[in-house]
Amino acid sequence: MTQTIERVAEDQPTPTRQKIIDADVHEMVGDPLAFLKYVDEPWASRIHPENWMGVALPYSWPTVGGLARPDAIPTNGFRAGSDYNLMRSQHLDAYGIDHAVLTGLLYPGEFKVQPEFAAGIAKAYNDWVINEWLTKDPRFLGSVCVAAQLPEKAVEEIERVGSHPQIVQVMLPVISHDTFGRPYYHAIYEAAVRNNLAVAFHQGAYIETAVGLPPYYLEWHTGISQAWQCQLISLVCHGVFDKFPDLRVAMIESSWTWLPHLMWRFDHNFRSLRREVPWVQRLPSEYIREQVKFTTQPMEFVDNPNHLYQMFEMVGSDEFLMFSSDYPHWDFDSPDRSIPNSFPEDIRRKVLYENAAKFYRLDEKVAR
Amino acid sequence: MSATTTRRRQRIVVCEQAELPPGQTRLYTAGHRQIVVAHLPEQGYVALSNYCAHQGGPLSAGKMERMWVGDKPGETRQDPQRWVLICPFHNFEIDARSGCPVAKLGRHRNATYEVTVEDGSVVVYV
Repeated sequence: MTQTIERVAEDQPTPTRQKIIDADVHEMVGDPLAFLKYVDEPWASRIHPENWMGVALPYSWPTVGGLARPDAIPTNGFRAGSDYNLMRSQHLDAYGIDHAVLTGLLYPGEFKVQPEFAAGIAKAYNDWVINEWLTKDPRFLGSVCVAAQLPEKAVEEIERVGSHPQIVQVMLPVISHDTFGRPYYHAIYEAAVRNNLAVAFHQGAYIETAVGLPPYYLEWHTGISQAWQCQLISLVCHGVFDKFPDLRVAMIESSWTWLPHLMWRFDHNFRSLRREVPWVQRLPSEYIREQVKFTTQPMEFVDNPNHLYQMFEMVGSDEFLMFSSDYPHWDFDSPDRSIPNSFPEDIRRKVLYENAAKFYRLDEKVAR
Repeated sequence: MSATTTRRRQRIVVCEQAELPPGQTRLYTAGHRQIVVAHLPEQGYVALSNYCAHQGGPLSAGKMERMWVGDKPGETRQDPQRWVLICPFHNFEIDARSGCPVAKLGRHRNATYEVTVEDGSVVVYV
């Protein structure tokens, strides 16, 4: 039995209310037929209940609501995150979210077959998210979905919808079968910069750990941050940040406490092996601090909360971290409980709002 | 090799010019002091502490080469002007002229010394 505890929005927020940007909110496809009408031919008529049915994680695991918080599943039985009204009342209004970055969870960039089909689904997703979500609430910010395996198509898609005033980033899935630093993908970064968009990396269904797919979900769920690390290392080694100094990258749901280790290790190895990639002009950690942001969820619970803040300080920037809830998923983090009190008030403000507002250039978005 | 001390600094005769051809290095040792002298082709001589700024590895036991640079991803070439000493301990690169690690190592660097040629000898002032 699921007991739902209502969280009621404040009618009159106080003037000192902490503003919040949630950098990871998953709007989901509810009725498949409602999504299908956005899919062009020849792809639409090829989708059938007995062939492609979207993507799914390869694991089962002990759960109450599957991938989602059970209290976020709408009464119509469709997937959690598919009901705007529920999302609004349960999350946006209840927590006083000023902006929610919609990150979806349908990433054609991770499809391993039929790249043209992937590009068709990406286009459908973008039209769907604009019409069914962004138009409904000005608090929503959107992500352009692309099939990165066809860079020309991905660029076409960025050019087609990237100027939408609520769209703030291009979404790439954290895959484990290729590295996104390769020059093959550079046109995507170029298009993102040209359209004043960030590039975000979020896990998809096919993400693997350093040892592939281990037997247990717990192993996989704990180990997959390795895939973000590999993609980040790849971006630096292939000179993406040298080539695109204005590129802004967000690592979403990657966790972040591994950053001090990675930056120290990366810088150390770079000093030894710079000659292999001499087009990389600066220490890897410098690019990461200046051009890459991370999100809070999944936030670790540390016995001594001071240690968590020490990890934050070790990164060497107070602008690298942006709050995220991962609503409506089962590992949802609350905006008012996930950041421990060891984080000073000014840093909490930065994490909850200011860092994301600056990163996503919300002042420019509002102006245009 | 010989060394004489003035009031201000020590004068060290490292070797005859012919003993240090272009592109080569030579180690001068006196007690704990170790200085590596390098002959940079068409640029003359440089001298720096032989102990790497990182963990004290002996630079003279590594390698001197023209520094690898790249103008864009995937392309490599050697800078005709810039030489580096590769430490044998971790392969860190130390700029032969400035003594600075090519990839920043905090504020650490190798000490450098004045080198001259006097009467056909390579002379270092410490």
